[in-house]
Amino acid sequence: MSATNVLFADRCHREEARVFDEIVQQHKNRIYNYVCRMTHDSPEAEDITQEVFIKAYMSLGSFRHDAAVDTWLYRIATNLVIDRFRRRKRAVQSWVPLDEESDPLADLPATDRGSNPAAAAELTELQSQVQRAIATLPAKLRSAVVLHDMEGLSYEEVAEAVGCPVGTVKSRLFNGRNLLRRKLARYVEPGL
Amino acid sequence: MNCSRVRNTLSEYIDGVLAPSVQYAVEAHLAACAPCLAECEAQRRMARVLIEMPRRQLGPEFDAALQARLRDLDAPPQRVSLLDRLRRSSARAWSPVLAPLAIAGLAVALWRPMMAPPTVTPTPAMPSSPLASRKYVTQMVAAHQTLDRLRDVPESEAVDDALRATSVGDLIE
Repeated sequence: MSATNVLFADRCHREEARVFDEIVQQHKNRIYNYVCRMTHDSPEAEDITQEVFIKAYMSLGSFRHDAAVDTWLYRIATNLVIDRFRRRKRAVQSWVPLDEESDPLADLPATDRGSNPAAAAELTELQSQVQRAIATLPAKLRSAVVLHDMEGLSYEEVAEAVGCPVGTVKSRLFNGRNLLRRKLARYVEPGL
Repeated sequence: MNCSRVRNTLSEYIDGVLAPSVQYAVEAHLAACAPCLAECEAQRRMARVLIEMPRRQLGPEFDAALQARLRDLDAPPQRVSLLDRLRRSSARAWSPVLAPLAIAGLAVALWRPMMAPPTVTPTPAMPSSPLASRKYVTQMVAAHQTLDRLRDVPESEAVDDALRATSVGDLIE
């Protein structure tokens, strides 16, 4: 290889690294949040997020330029998370299902929640319950709910990210929301 | 539109993706049906709770760890000799079948010329005359040189060449 070619290849490589670093900086927290939601804040979430970007870097050449970078990354993340579920099944088993007895707000009069001085603490607890409820959803329903309702992706983007038709996304969202709705009934029903 | 149908479309109604005609029908039903309206409100609240869930931030150590792993990926691949490659590959699941086959193939290719009658196997053959003997030695030397050269070739190419080769003649070429 001539010196010019070496310099050119080196420059291309540095440019590719710079662009990739921008991608990481723009998307790392969104991907990390998605992985956290999917794995119930597993200690592995950061490691899985790293894996997402390693895989993305290795497959930059196969990236379809008509696809959005974020849905591409979400798709890699989804595959990695589901792959880990399949291989270990530990994550799902370790997630504590939401039940009536474990609800710390069960004894608190519902009408007091809004004006209670401890509202902030209650909100934190509610969010914890929501996260736990999400964790009990089947992985496919969970990914649809998290990507659409928490990450703000459109139906089409979710479909691209999880690799299924838009109609399936709608169906998963419907079922996932209904399950969540039942688990969180005491927090979301009107008049509470 | 009845209650059951409205409940089935609430998810999309809240997302605002229904066709206008369906949306108006749902709204008309909600205006007249308290239970469905309550359900709609509950789903709206849940949607708000989900979107307001706190978000986490990765620390700076994430970037450092990722950069380190990316640098490892960019490191030039180590040159591994053919012998080492075959030795390593023996640990793989498929190697108990392929590696011995490859070695056996090489061995057969090396020994076949000596076992076959000179008239049937043109080259390389057991020397039957001073001229043939010189030709045979030349081929054997070339084969060994090729094997030596393969040790300097990146591991994947070397193994591919070795596995493709069905005789010493193939390796020489």
